[in-house]
Amino acid sequence: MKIFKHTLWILAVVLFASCDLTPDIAPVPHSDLKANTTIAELLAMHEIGSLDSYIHIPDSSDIIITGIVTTSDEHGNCYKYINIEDGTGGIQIKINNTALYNKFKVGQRVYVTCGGLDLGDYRKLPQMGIWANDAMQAIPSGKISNYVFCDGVPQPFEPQIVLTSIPNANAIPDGWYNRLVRLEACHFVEGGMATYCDPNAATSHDIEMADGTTITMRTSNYADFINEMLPSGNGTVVGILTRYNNTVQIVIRDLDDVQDFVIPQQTQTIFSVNYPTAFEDGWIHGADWSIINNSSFTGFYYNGSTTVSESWLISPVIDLSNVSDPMLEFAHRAPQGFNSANMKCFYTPVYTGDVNTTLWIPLPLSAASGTNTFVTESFDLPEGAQSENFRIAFKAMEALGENVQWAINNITITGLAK
Amino acid sequence: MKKALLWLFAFLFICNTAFSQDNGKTREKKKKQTTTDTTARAGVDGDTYSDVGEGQDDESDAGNYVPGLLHSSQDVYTNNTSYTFSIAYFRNRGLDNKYQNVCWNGFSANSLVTGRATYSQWGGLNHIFRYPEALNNLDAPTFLFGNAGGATSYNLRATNFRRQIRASYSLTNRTYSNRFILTGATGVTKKGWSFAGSLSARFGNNLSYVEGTTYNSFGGFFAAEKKLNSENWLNLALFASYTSRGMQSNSVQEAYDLLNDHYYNANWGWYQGKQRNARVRTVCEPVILLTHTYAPKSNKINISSTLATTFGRNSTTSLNWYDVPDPRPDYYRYLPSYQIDNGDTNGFYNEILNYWTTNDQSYTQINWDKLYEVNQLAAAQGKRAQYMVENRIYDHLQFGGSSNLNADLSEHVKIAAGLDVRGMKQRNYKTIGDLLGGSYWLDVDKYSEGDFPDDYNVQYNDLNHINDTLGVGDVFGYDYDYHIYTQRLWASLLFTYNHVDFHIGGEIGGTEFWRTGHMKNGRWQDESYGNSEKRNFLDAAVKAGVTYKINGRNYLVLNGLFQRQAPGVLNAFVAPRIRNKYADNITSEKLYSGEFSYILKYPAIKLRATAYFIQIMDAMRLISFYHDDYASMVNYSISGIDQRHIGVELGAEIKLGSMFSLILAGNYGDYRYTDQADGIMNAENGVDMQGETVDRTIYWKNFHVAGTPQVAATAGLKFNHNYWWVNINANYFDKIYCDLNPERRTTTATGSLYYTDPELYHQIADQTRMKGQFTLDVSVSKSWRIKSGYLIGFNASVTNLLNNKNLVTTAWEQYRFDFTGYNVNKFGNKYYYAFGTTFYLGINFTFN
Repeated sequence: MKIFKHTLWILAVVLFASCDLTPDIAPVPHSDLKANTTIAELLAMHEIGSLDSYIHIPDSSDIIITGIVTTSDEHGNCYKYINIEDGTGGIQIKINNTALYNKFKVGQRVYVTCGGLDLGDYRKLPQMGIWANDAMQAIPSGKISNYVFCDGVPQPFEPQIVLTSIPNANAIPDGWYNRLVRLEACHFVEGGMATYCDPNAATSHDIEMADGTTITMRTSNYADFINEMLPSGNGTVVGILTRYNNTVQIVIRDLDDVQDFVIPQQTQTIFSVNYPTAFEDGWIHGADWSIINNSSFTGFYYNGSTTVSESWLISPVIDLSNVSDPMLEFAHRAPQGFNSANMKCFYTPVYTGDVNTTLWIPLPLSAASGTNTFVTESFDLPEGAQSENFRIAFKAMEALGENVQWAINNITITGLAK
Repeated sequence: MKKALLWLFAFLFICNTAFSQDNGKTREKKKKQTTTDTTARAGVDGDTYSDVGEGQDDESDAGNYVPGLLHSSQDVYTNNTSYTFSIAYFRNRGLDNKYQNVCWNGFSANSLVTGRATYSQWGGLNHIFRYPEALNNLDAPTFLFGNAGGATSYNLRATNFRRQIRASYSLTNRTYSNRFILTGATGVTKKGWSFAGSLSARFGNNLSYVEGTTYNSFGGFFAAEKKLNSENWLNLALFASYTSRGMQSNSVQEAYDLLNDHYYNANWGWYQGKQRNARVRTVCEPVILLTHTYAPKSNKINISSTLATTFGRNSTTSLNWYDVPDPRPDYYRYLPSYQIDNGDTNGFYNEILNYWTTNDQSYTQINWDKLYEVNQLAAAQGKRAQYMVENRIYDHLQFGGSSNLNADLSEHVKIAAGLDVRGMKQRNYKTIGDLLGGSYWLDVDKYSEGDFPDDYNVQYNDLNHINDTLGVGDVFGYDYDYHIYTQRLWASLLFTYNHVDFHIGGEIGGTEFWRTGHMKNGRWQDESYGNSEKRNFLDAAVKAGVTYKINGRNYLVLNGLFQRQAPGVLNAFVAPRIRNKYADNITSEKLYSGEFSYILKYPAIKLRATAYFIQIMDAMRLISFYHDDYASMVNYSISGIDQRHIGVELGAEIKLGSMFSLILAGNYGDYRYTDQADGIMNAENGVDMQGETVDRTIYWKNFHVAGTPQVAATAGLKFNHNYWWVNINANYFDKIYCDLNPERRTTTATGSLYYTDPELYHQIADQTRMKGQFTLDVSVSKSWRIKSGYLIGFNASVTNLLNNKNLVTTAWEQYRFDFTGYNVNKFGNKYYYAFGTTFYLGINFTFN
């Protein structure tokens, strides 16, 4: 019986020994290849002339390059090629297949064994593939696994070249073409007025940089975003830098490459009182303040009594809580001469109903206020002014014997909506 | 050398006049009728591009199930499951049929090419092939050494059949409608002669379960045996079965759903008012056996030796086309989903959807008229035919012999031993079966044209016949032979004592094969014509076991087997249709297996409970399919396949009074791949003709081996009284998995999707599991003795009484996969479903 007991144990162990029955997961691609040539060195092997040409890299060549994939055909704007770059340069590899984004995602490191391939150019843009019929042809899809080897998981990849100005095509270093670039502070010349592409043909649109230089954005009519409008305003465009002879071009991969386009905001008038004919609701004023409108004075008018007095003109509540960068402007005139001790301007985030208990923040007036002409004062109101109970106030004071006259008009507060 | 061995064997046979005893002594007294031809879905069609040997092995992979071991047996598990589980294409322990040895008079019936026995060789001859002797699983060798799935032996000696005439008629709605069998035997005459013969016919498709299938089969058997003297008998047996049948297709779920029919058959179409099937399989492979038996009355020794030849043809027709749309109605582009994938949910989509939902058979079936129209138009312009029906043919000729010995060496020791030598040549080719109104055919590879504009020869399949205009019957495409020679010698000793029996035995042998190409292929000019290198493999096996008899009612049994076998020749070449090149990793397959059983034998209860374990290593497989990246048919050679089958079996029969018995039986298995495998792919159109094959690792460890429900159980009630037999069985099947496309489990396919798009990764890589299903079967039989010597029997059975049409018997992922768009539904899984309710009515007369 012992033998059976032991056997039973062995059997049980064998049966249940490997309890980890998790199905295999195919590992991410890995390549043991080592690059021995930079893309810049590779590009240098082929001299770009006036006509499309190529060199054949012998089958026996051991040239291996590596790079990060920057293109994606997921949205149809790239077709049958991938671009890779390694920091020294970029190269377009033509592959006769579609949906390459499934195998070669943006950020994927690949190694390319170049032996057997052809290196050439199309309208001065470097390409690799198979040269036939006087043009660079795509590598047959069934052969691509003999040349291009993925390694690792794709990682986020940001453009390493940032352009704020576009040199002419021949001034651009060779190592920049076929690479992902970022155009900063640029705008579409036809922004807001045209779609990305004519449905019937590939389309070019100019992008103008802040300095006025331009680059052509080239879009395929097979892209899935052709009917979208080009954005207005300024922003950033990411894409592959290419050239067509001496025309510098950029090719975006999808609309995510068109970033942060903003139309500059228009200044809004938050409050405006021009040539008032009466104190509107909300104005608080002392007895010496009136409304006057004649050839000499227009607007709010303080006419002193040559006695000792102090009189306030306080605006209605002005809600600045949703306003950024508020700016106060008004014009004033002091026919008897300006004296900053007699004429003061304040604002308050909140008026308590009593001028004495209210926190008044002074806005220093210019000493240049004219006697015969209105002078405009302008103040950038600080962040603390952006209150929903904001008020401005004018305070006129005179001592005995003084005759203070002060006209105020065109009170305007402008700002940007938050 | 091999031929010399064959002659040597013949010499041994002639000289053999020694020893013997009745080798039928282990035959069970209580027999169970084999029902192979009625339970098998004999008309199913394998995946068009699944296997290079597609079509020649009925008993092979997905879609070609034939229950392997419907052997009679006293084993309570086997007896109560072999028929009941067959509806779900259950494979014993998950094993392919090639792991079950079958023999006629000791001569192996397993094909040297496929490794499997071809049951259609004796299809319809049920009266003759109804009482086989069985070696269950790892039982001690007796008539054969036995493989991991056991062995079955058919005794075809004329003296094996008692003197009687028996006639049967059956009516069924499965693959054919009618079956007649007439069998007669003389018994031993005064002059020592015995004769036995049988004729059978199976025909009619008016009741066939699947539309468009046809079935015509005729079989014949004749045996004559002469008693030479008191110890020696000489028997000649000949049998053949001609079967021609229009097959059922497999299809994608979308097609089944659109037609609301799980038995949609895309293989047929209307032609001249009749249903015409494009996939007709015709098999006729006769067998001749000359058997000498030495059996002295002492019963202490028995030697049976057989010289045999088998020959014949196995062919399957199929549509072929050139530079025209695919004629198969369920081709993926003809399904509504294809339009959706292309962004069309209106125009064509609605039109196509309407064709399917209204079952417009000019669209949902093969449109023969259109094929003829295209060809006739081409013919009128003097151009080649563009559609045709080809005939894929396998012709074989085999010679061989076997000799088996059973002897008592002492009171406690018996020996069983055997010798088996075989040589076989199989020619594989295809011919033009029907030009469908076209004028001629050109033998070019449609996938090669245009790829090599500088090499005009590349497109030709046979450079020795460039630009031949071919007509009906002409060979084209490929034409090659397999030559296989094997020799086996085995012996086993069985020791019997009061409380312990044990056995130990071994087998040793060799296999040699090679390929001979008859065409000089334009893509592989230097390695397609003539003989390939010959490859030799050493085959060996060791089998041992021990039975501990606790008492006369309780037994503990432990058996084990280790073997290494040559790889099947079908898997040995990278592109056997056109090249002589062997797969790089070709190696022998290893298998070890163990089983531990508790057996209980009481009059009121019989029970067997077994735990089993099978580990297969270094198996090989070759698949062939269309690959979009290569725009070509590709061959995908998989090596290093390791799989483990573990499970438990339970069979119990409990008597409930004198008339009723309760049956409980089931198998809970877990069959998985246990390691990564290696895949090497090359394209037949030659795009990689520089030797740039693509090799990759297949990550399928712990995925399930498909092809059978891994869980099967039945609970039944048997009634037996006054020659009435009634059986009711409720069955459940589960853990039915989809067969894998290995390419979908490679880094090449999934890249970094696991990290970048896990949902898509799982869509691609996860294995589909089918839902478990119940079925219910009922059968009734009764026999009457009219008068002495005259017996009438009647039997009726209804399978799947509840008409469950959702039991998937076979499921597999198409090998073609959308590696561009990664749309897993573009080439969806293909399925076969078990038939719904089917019946079988039989009546038989026996005159003694």
